[in-house]
Amino acid sequence: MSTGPVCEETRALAPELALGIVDGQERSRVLRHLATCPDCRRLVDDYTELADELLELAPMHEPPLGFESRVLEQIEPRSPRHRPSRARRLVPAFAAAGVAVAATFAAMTVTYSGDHELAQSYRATLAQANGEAFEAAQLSAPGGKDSGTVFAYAGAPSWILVTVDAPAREPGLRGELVTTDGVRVPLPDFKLDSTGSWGGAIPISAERVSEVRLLGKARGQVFEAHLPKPGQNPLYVEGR
Amino acid sequence: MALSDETLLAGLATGDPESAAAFVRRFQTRVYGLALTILHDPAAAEDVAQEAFLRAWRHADSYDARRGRVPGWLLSIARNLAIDRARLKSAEPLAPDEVLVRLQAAGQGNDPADAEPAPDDRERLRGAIGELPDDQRRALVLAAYLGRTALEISELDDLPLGTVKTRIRAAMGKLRAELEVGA
Repeated sequence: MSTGPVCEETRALAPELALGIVDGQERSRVLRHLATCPDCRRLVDDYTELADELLELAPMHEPPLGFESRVLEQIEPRSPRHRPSRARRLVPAFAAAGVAVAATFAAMTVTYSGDHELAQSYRATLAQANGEAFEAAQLSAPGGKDSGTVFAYAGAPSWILVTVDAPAREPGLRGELVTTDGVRVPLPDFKLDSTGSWGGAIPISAERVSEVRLLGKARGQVFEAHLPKPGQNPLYVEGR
Repeated sequence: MALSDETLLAGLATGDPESAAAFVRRFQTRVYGLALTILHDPAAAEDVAQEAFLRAWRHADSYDARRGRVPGWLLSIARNLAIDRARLKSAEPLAPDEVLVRLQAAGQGNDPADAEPAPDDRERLRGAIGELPDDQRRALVLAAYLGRTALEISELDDLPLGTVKTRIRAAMGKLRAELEVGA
């Protein structure tokens, strides 16, 4: 079995990690370690299986009449979407690629129109950065008002760029991601600059991000951007 | 022969009406039951259960069989949505003691919807939770079902953070050992 301070920390945190209650930087550090340590990953997998079993202990209840139809009428048939090949190996990120991606994100905030020329430049940037896809989504205030834009880049590492319109720029906004399976991942470094933007690497693949949220100080004050899946977005451009 | 959970999920991913209906029918009592256990509000639980199925449909292709079985994946989605709902809408989730009562009652067949006999693992786990010391059991329920972090539990129960972490670790360790013994 592997040893070392990070292994020890990971083993101590494994139950909390499996229960999805580890916050922020601690979580990022441990997840990075898991990517390289099969022993720790096995332990976390064991605890995750236990956490899943615990949820299955909850009593079953019949939902109200009509529940099934209400769910099914929102599910639409669709053809299996084409995804970039998983077999494609992403080379480790390098700084120049990151800068190019960030620069393109910045350009997108100004010229977000989805025209052909811009799409070509995304493609070029993706190729340079060995990335897979760009996604973009509207950032909505609690009442649904358009309050900015979130761009996500799926690569190694994945990035997001958040731009918030002036009226919604509040001091102390905190950022978090919600994964496709509903886990909340805080962004401890999130802080809007004077132009209302923040960009940075995220600890999970952008493909696993379902929502980006900005949380205000008041309870219930949440700005949300629901990221579309690749292939369902006019900005989506495959890499190479 | 009944189709596997994974096959139904794959069908749901494409929006195939028959697979989607079978998937919802197979899991709706568990998903709604879990949401109701956490939120104890039928309307909120229905919203959460509905959203959990829609999220499963939208993100079915992110399901990875190596990281767990379909019911666990789906119930995790429902749990996270329910906890989120409680946090964002200032709703009060169920008290941990009440969650425990419901978990134990489900095992005794007191719930009319819980007609199927539970697999051995589930019963063994339920028994092991019952045998945990009270303080460990409370920390486990707050963390596993109500999504409270160790820090939140330490503030809630006015305990040192290290004590809470130790309780969660001890409880999970005992339950894991129990499942391994039965395997």
